[in-house]
Amino acid sequence: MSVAEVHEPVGAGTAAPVLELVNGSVRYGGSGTPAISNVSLALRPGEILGLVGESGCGKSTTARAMLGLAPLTSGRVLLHGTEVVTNDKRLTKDKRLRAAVQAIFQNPAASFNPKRSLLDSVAEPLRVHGTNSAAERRRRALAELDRVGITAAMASRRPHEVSGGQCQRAAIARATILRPEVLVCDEPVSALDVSIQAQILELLSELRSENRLAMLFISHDLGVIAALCDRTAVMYAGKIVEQADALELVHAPRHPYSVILQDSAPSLDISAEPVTRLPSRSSPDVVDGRQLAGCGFAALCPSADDLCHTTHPPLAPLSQAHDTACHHPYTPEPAPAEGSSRPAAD
Amino acid sequence: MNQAATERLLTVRDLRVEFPTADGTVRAVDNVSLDLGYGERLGIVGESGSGKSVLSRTIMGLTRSRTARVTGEVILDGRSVLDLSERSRRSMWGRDVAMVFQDPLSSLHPIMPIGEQIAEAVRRDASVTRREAGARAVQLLETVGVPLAAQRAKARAHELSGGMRQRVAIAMAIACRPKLIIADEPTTALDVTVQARILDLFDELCREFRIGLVMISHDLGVVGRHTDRIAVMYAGRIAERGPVAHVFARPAMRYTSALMAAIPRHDGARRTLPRPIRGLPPNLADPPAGCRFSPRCAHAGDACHEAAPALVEVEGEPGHEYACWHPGSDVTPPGGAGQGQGPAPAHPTSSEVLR
Repeated sequence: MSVAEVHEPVGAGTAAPVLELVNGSVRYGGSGTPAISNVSLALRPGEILGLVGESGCGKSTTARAMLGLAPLTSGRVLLHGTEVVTNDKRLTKDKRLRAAVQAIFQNPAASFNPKRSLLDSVAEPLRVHGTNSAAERRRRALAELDRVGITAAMASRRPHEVSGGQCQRAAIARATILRPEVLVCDEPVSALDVSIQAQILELLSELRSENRLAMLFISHDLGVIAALCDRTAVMYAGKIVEQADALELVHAPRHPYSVILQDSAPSLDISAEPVTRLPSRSSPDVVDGRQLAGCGFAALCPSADDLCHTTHPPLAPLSQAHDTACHHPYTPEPAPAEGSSRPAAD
Repeated sequence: MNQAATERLLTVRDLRVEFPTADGTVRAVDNVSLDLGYGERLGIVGESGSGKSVLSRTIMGLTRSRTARVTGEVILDGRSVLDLSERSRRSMWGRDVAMVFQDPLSSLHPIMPIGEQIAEAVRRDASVTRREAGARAVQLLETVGVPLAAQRAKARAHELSGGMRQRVAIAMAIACRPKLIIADEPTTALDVTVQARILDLFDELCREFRIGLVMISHDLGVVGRHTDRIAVMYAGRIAERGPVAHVFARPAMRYTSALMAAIPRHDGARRTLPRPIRGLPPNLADPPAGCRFSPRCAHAGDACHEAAPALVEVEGEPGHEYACWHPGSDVTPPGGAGQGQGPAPAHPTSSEVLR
């Protein structure tokens, strides 16, 4: 049983997970080091789970594993508790399952057929899933596009004739037209300008509340994660190193990598001195954590000792609904009593 | 700062860059003026299509007269860039001004070892021998924080991580000790932890070698701590500019605060969605009349749709200028404990001042 299964999900009651990845490992092309190892994540109805980490840490592989697109070397994917990705029954082969789990990606223009109108592309899933009347498909596709803010006039354009934000809206319409239960979003706003990015985040947030969609939301931007997500999982070198309520992770991170990640994020608050809770030891991009025997972060971690270099710490609950994989979790110094405006962590 | 007029590294006056297109003339940069001192860091912030990259390429002398109409003045270290011959412009690149781009992989040679590429840049100074240049390349790699520099010098670009590649690009940029570096979204493709290191590196280089820096970014957060002054661009024009602390604390042009409110905060006390800016940036072949932000602005009145506001100075904040008929801020100053509405503008509105 994965650790995530026993947790009280935040903001979603005790609803059973819709989609779960249990102890998933993926190894590409028979290479020695796994892209991800022993990753467990559970998505619950109406809940957005953020997945954050640096490039190459395994975020997209995790998403692909949950979509049944990456070959699991071990572990299981469960939809409503039923195993759906096995050798004879892949998520990608079963139409019904595919309708339940949909995805949007970073570059929407690349996921559309350049020669077809947005309307045609958005209507296509209906055709695949048995809506035979062309008029009916058109009507429903227009309604879905309207819901995401694309007018009928714009729907007849091709992907390169609309802006990146409009194209991403159409991609969302195509993903939601089959009324999926799960939406996997892999860096959906990273390529967009901030003003447009905020529009898409608002739209995703509305879809979540209207349809009780469960979402896996991948981003390298902590701001985006903190604004949208209920829970956040932090990934490093192919493993989940911390998982907690999104706000708690922002204000009381325990894994040293999460702390350094928070400290590095640019802030609009330039009046105060930058907070550096932990110094990072070396340049973060010279070590491949997957090659290390112990904790993947040990070579860069200011708190690492001999134990960290030899033994990988398991992901374990440090407090209620807060898991950390660390031998020496960060504990903040007792705050000096000088009316600091930093919110206290519960 | 700007009082020392003789100390100016870069002066841009009334710069206009127009591209004739099938849909009409696109004025990508419209009447932009800027100053930069030696060792000073200027951030230029704006969304895609705001003209920030065209502006920076024009400062470099990279906007070609065959495709663009350029008017105005660009004075770099006492020389008028727009009047230079092709040859003197080439000799200026690297020695006076160097550029760092978003994607270092596309500006590095795919199979030449990075040490040789840097040495090639060093040898633009003809008096340096091949051997000296090689040694200097390793030194430069050390300066920009590449570990095991002598060994790494033999590596090819694709063998390095994104952050290391960007360090190599920076090493090449500083190889001939330029007076000005233009960095166009230098950290956008990097992870936050790596981004923080690269931004610190720019700070050190500017301080140590008195290099002037123009840093272009779409992200206000990135430029905030790592520049002295910022200019916010919208649709080819400067919407607001001034010392970074003043602009961040009291944004006056409505676009600036709308841009701030649209940035998702990672350090907020509550979970709040960022506030989107409605609509899209204008089509520059057919820009709206008056203030170019007016069709998207929540505060726009009749004046905004009729006449473009000029840049005016905020009272008591020298150098902090904005172009807005209804100035004020929609954001709670970051770090402030209070929720709800932002403070009223601390200065008379420009509509009162100018009408």
